[in-house]
Amino acid sequence: MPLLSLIIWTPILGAIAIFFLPGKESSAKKIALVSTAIPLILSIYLLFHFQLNQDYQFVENVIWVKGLGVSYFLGVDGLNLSLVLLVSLLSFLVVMAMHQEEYRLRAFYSCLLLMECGLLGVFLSLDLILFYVFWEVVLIPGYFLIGIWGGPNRQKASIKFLMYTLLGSLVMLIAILAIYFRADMHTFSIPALLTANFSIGFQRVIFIFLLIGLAIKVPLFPFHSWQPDAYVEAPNSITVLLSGLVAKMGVYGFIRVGYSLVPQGSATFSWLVCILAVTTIIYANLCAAAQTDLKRMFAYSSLGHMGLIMLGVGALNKIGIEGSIFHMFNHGIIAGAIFMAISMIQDTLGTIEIRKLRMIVHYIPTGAMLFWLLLLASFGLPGMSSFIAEFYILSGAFQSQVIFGIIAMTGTVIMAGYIFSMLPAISFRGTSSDSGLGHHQPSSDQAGTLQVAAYNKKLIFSLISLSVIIIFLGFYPKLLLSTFHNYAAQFIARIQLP
Amino acid sequence: MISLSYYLTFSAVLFCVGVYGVLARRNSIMILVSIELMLNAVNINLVAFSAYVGGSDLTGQIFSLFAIAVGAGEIGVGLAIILNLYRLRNTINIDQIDFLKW
Amino acid sequence: MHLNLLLPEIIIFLTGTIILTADLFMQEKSKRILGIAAVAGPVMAVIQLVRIFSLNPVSFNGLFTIDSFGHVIKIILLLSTGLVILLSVDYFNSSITRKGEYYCLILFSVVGMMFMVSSDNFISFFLSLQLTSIPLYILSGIDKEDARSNEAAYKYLMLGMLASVVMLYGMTFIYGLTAATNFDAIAWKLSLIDIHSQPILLMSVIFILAGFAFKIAAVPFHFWVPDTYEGAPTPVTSFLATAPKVAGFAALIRLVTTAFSPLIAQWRILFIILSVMSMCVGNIVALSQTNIKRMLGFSSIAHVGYVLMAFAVADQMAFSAAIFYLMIYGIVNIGAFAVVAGVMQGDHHIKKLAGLSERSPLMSFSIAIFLISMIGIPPTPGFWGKFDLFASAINRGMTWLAIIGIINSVISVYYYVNVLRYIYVERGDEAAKAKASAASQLEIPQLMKLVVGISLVITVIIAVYPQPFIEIAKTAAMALKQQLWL
Repeated sequence: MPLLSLIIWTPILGAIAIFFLPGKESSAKKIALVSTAIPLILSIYLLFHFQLNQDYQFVENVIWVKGLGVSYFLGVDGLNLSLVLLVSLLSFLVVMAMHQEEYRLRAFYSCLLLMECGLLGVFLSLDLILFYVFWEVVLIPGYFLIGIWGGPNRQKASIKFLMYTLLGSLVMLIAILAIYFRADMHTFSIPALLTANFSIGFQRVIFIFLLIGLAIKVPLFPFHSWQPDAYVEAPNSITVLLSGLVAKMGVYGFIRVGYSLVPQGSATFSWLVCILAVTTIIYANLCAAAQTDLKRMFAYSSLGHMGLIMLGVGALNKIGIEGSIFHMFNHGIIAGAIFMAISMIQDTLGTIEIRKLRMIVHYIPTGAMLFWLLLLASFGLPGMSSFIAEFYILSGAFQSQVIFGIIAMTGTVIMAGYIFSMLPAISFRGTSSDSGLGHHQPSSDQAGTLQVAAYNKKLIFSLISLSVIIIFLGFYPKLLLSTFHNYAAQFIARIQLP
Repeated sequence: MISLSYYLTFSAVLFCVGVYGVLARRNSIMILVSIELMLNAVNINLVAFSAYVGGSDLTGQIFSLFAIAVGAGEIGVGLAIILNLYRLRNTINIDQIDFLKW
Repeated sequence: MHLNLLLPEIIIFLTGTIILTADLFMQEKSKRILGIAAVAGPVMAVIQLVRIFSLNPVSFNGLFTIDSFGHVIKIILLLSTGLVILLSVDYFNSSITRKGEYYCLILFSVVGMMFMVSSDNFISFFLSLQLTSIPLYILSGIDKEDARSNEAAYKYLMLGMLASVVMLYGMTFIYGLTAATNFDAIAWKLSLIDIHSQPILLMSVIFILAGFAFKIAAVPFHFWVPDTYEGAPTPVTSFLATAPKVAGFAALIRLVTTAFSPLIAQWRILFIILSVMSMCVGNIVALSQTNIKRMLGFSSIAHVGYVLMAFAVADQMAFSAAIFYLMIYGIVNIGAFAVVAGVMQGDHHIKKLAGLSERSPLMSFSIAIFLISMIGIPPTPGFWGKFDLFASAINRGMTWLAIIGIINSVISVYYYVNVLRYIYVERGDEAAKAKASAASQLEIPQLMKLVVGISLVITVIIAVYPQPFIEIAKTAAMALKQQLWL
């Protein structure tokens, strides 16, 4: 059974059904729910039927465009298994739990499903052009999702998102074409290209191209300016997908294409990747500390985490790369969950401005508790999955260059700083010193009260389930670590080849 | 005997006069006439080449006959369009035909 | 006689004549049927072309060569012509009076293009070029009461005549140097003479290519494009933007691969210049356009630049990529112009499209697909076309040219997406007003919907499975005489 095709194409069938079938807007959500649930179920099936000691599994390989040498080549290996799980999980939760604006609901769900299809395709394809096609499929729905349903500055943010990322991907396309024509066997198949021997000079040039192209997508420091705008202006549910999933495409591209296909070239420039990564960490966390609303703050914080993940890749040792792959999954879950929580705060309390938020433990105790938990996870508290991942990445960084490790640590300290100054402020502020927590009605405060709307129960449920995953992986990381253990070993072996 | 270069020089001069006319004249009819001059330069070239390098083969002269016929057709359409434009706008000065920005 | 091989041209010619005659005897009201009858010509001709597709190439006295390269181009030409005619039926329902002449002129122009594609000789080429152009001048000004339409025709005519005379002047010198007008004979003669001792040769090549550059609208011979595209009625614009360009490119491919093949080093440089200038100027000027037809005009100049890249590369893979690109370019452009014809009358400011997604979701969706394809975002046909072109450039080590093309693609995103922004994203006052005034849904004539639908279906097919189309383009390129790359 073509399991992987089924995973990729169910969302797109759903999108077509929603867009073209007549019917009420309310039926759109049901179709969307079904067409995101099927990939989720199938990817859980993949997780449990994944053979730990094999390379590519569930492979589908059909020639697609013979004239251009493109084939439809899908497969699962250690690298993409967890990411596929992540994509299908987050998309399902977003469709299930998050409240959408009524405006053109059918088009909204079509775009969202199209985006999911693109993301799954990017992670599953083993042919460079197929990879590129899916890569761009993410782009257009992304543009419309930000542009049509976004916040006040949506027009600027969406065009910036589109122009930046399109520039990046076209630069990547040049590198892909150059690889194709330089390889002896003229193929776009990634497994076949792993054995190609390129001259070191060629590898360096190609890596620089890939670096520019992919660094825009990740994003890394000087190429990041589209990211905060896009995250902030996008509707909440899309911010979840952008931060949790779309950002991972860049890192995945680095590992799957950059470091794997031009290993020596990337090894020579790894110092550059590390420098960009640590700059991103410091810059993003400093910016985050200066923000006044939650969404923007965690947009930057998410950027910092991407820097951390790239540092693990750039460290070029086994522990670093394992940490990075693990953190891609973790950060996907955590960042997604944080933006869901922010959306919950916005829905229930009507604001996400840090200055206006007060006493959230009083107003929304359950939500506040979950928010606390997620922020601690984001910071990397022991016992959470992110602790293990960050520990891996940092020890990888220390192994390769102590200075990078130290800078990355500093970034984490800054993060701790703003999280622990913001959290108590929004949680307890507004209670006067003489009254106990929650006993005093904050209405006496001169800034006025917050109107509390009812909880979205489904959202709380998703937050709880994501938190369970975070804690579960904190105690039993082996479930995922074991899947890419082999992959990381091969990856490092390839780079350290003469 | 007159050498080939005389014909070529003559046609080149004629062509340049035509080009000058197209660039300098503002009246549409005069521009058409200038283009017609350029076409005549072409025909002189064709006939001269046919006589000097073509040998017994009359391709050049046939070509020039076609060019004359087609040129006449083109001028006919051109005059019709200019006439219609005059009917609508009361001018055939190209500086005043500017509804669409250049 | 191989009359069978000329049957497609004869069919189109006869259809045109019959329509012209029928026009005399018909009531004004029932003339709508003429348009539908006119579509029959291209359809029959395509069927005949498919029937003779696999026959061996035949030369008609060194004037025409009928080969599969020509067949492929002719099929593209006829399909786009058929769509344009369908588009015109409802567009001109009330505005122009002499409908028979209109369809007849389109068909005669196509006959010219078909002969032009097959021409193998400067004389036949020149004649068919004029047969193509003269009806086009009249078509641009077909709406006699509209001053803008007339002005469009006037500008097209003046510059077109100038271009053809300059081209002819160049041809005379080629004839003088080689004493031949047949492309193969010229190639043979040119390979014998010392190219560098004849400065006049380079000049005449430049003259001829300048004439071509005018026909296909490459910078710096593009001045007529924005005005003519804006002024001409939209179906005529869609015709101007597709068929003559495809035919011009095909004739150019035939010319440079045969007659001018000894001069490859010279013309490659010229084409590099033309290509880079067309891409850059077309895209950059398009950024500031507010009229959608002008914008599409400049964007078509940019597309010409991409196709010219193939001439700069000049090998079989590149020409096959160019033919593939032309197919895609044709269908996507007709689709886009059909949507414009359907939803806009009079003022073609991009602002008028605001809120279109509310008034006509299907039209908005279609134009979105067409514009995204023009950008070249996968998996649209535009991507496959550009991919093929850029790959052929990189293959020959001209990566820098591909990089210029890619930078231009990124620039082009802005103005295409600007249109999408008005259609989808803009939901301010204009959308609300439009909703209130137009009573939501826009009425679009059935036949226009049909044209958009056909274009959309072909676009989607090429997007999903481009292989057969690439194969066809390859067959066409293989049929070219091979002396250039052997």
